[in-house]
Amino acid sequence: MIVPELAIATSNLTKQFERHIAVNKLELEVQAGEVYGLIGPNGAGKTTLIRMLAAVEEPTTGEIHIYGDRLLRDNSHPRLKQKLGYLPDDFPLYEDLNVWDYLDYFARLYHLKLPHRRRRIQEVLELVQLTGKKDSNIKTLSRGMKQRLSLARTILHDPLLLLLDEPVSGLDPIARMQFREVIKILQTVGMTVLISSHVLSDLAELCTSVGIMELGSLVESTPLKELYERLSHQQIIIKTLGDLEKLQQALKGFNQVEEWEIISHKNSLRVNFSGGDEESAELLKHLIHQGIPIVDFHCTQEDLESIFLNLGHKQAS
Amino acid sequence: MLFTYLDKIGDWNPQLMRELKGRFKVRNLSIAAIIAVSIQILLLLGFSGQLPVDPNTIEVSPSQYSRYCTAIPSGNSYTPYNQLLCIKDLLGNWVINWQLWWLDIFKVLSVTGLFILLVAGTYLLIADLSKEENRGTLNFMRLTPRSSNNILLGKMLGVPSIIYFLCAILCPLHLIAGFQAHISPGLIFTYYLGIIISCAFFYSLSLFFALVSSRLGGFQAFLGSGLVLMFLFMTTSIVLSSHDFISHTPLDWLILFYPGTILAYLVESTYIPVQTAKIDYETLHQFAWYGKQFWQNSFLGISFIFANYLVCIYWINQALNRRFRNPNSTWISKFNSYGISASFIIIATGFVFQSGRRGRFEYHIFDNLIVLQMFIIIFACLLMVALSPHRQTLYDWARYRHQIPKNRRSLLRDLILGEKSPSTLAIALNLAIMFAYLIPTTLISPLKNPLGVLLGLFISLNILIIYALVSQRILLFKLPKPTLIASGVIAVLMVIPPFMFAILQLTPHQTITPWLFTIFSLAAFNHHLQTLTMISVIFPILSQWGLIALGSYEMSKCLQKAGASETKLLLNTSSTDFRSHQA
Repeated sequence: MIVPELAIATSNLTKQFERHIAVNKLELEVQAGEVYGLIGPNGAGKTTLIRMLAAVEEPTTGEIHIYGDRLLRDNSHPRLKQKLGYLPDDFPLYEDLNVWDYLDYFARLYHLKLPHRRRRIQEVLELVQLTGKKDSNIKTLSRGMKQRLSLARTILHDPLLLLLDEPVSGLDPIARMQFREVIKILQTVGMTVLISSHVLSDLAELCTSVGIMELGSLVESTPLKELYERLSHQQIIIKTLGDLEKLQQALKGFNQVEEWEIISHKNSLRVNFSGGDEESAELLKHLIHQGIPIVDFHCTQEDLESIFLNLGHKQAS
Repeated sequence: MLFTYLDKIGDWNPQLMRELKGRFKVRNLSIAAIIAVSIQILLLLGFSGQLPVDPNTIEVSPSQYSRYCTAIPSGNSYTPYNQLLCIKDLLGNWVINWQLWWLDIFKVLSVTGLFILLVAGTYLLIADLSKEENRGTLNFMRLTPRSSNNILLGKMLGVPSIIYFLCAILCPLHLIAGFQAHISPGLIFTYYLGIIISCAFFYSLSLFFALVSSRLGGFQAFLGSGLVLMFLFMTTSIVLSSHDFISHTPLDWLILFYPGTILAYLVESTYIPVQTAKIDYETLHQFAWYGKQFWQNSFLGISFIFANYLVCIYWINQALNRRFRNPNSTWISKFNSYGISASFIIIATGFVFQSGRRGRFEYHIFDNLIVLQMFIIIFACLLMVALSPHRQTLYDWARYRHQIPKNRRSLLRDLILGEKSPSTLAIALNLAIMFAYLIPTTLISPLKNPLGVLLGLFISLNILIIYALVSQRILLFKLPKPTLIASGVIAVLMVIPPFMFAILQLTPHQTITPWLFTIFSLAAFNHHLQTLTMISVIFPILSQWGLIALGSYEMSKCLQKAGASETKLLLNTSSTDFRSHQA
């Protein structure tokens, strides 16, 4: 039984190439309104999965339901297509058109009529910060701009579900930040986003849930918060002006301190700490009583990249 | 006003608007206009040069000859071939057969237009679609809610738009020439309709070709338009420059795919005799389909040509839509293949029954049946390519078939109608449909030994089933270019045996048995209809059936192995390892 509020529900989804199983009996469920991050090493089957969800690739077996409707490749299911937006990693464009004509062409393909069409194109151009480039030829745009233009094309028809395959690969940090901002805005308007990326810090900032894929299977699919609670350790960064040895001696007497690692060039320690706020205040008091010159003492959490690496997967980025 | 109109076009077909925007640039339009005007100037200059000139202006011989003059030269004077003596009337003006002059201009313009439209249009369409497919932009169109018909129609109307513009500039002179030649206006517009329908046919075919041959890369546009050019060259030279262009065999079917054939009716409406007009419209009258000479009447004849086009366009569009939606699917569905086979055999068989000009009627029909057999062989080979799924699909089918609920019911149904199942049974069924149609047709036709003919056809169809098995089996191997290799092997299997028999001088006149193992078995029956014995026929048939059974068994074994699950394979391997270890 497919629950209607699920944006994506797959059952027994399999894709096989020769004897190699790219996606193996995958059961994926993504709630409506979520930003779902898909991570995994190269060749784990992320792109194949996204291509199947976008109906670009046909599953060998299994079913895909988008908002409760069965996704089939052969029949042109116009209602379902209106709900989907797909951005592949190579985002091909028509280089002979200018930005406005390109978006106008796709808006018409998605049955957008005047005056709504003009308004919508302006909206998405503002969203991806390309309003100033609307009359420029696509050939003259930078890679980051082309990427944002492709995103504009993907969201033009107001899809309910956005499938983004490695959208920030090859972009510089500023372009990546701009891209993140756009995704955050899309999330606020209620779009469900499925995004695969190797840049885990970006995903950590964007996603509400993550799925970890390995060898075609989904080995983890959980809300990000839960993942942090379950797998991430609280850490305290302590920096001293004095001797590190002395600081380490002082830490040994404290029960909640599990282990630490030296951040050598900063003369500080990263301490894995199992206690709560009160215990960490206690620790700080204890260190000051010991006469250690503390200049920095702050709590932090293990990031997604460390969690992923700790899970023992082959490759993170 | 213009903007609203364009906007409406864009809403109806965004693809068309996108193509027009990309192509209707001043530079492109000017080039097209210059080419069109140059063609017209050159044509008019060329034809004016064939008219007699006044002796006062330049020095010419006293008696001038031209195709457009009117007087018959005296018997003892030297006359250039096919030309008449030029004379003046009482007022001193040349007497010119202007109607013929304009008719010739009309004919040349018609053929030029056809070549430009069909060859250049085909090239542009194939190049454009394959470029989009290779670049990946076609996928975005597939993902939009627009129907594939809408997108492909936009391509057909938009991509060759500059060519349409060029032809539109040629149109006024074409019309003037037509009216001056006293061609019936209704027929001129029917001819234009014919060109539009033929464009729809050739353009659908080229879009389909672009979709199925994307691996050929940049070469495919040259290949596709080259084939169209060759076809047009052949048919133009047959229809427009030869007397008696109807061969009274099923080969005449090809003439119906040439839109210039309609020109014969246009020329006929001018009442210019065949010898002068040089289009043999009278021979078209003798052309027959199931013995009915539809082409005696221009309305029926042209309607038949249109109907023939429309049937083909319908089936091509079915395949085109299918391939556009799913580039990994087979060219046509099994269900459609039965309809295509039925249409093919019904139309093609009709051209067998024609009155021969030479020899006895029954021999002529027998010869035509041999030609029909060639058509069936070519058609069956196309079916093998169009219906046979490739290795990956077959592996998926064998492995996961039982998991798809609708397939659980019946394997037979899946083999006859299924999307991914092997093609052999479907091809056999297609051949059976054709044979079933040929049984009553042959039995009631005035042949000496209709049963013998049916037997010959039956044997060749059996052999085609064996070839279908071989080709499907080859596609199961892991090969770099499976379709090419399978086609090569089948071609060798078809050609080598008759070639060997010919070298060994085992002609069908002398020994019949070896020929019963080739697809050209009907030819063997030509000479041995009376001397055939039961044994000499039953032995080949039984051995062919044995081969079919053996091939099917081997194929099913292979598929079973391919369909075994990983666990089973693993268990098999480990048990073998275990046994070898024990040993």
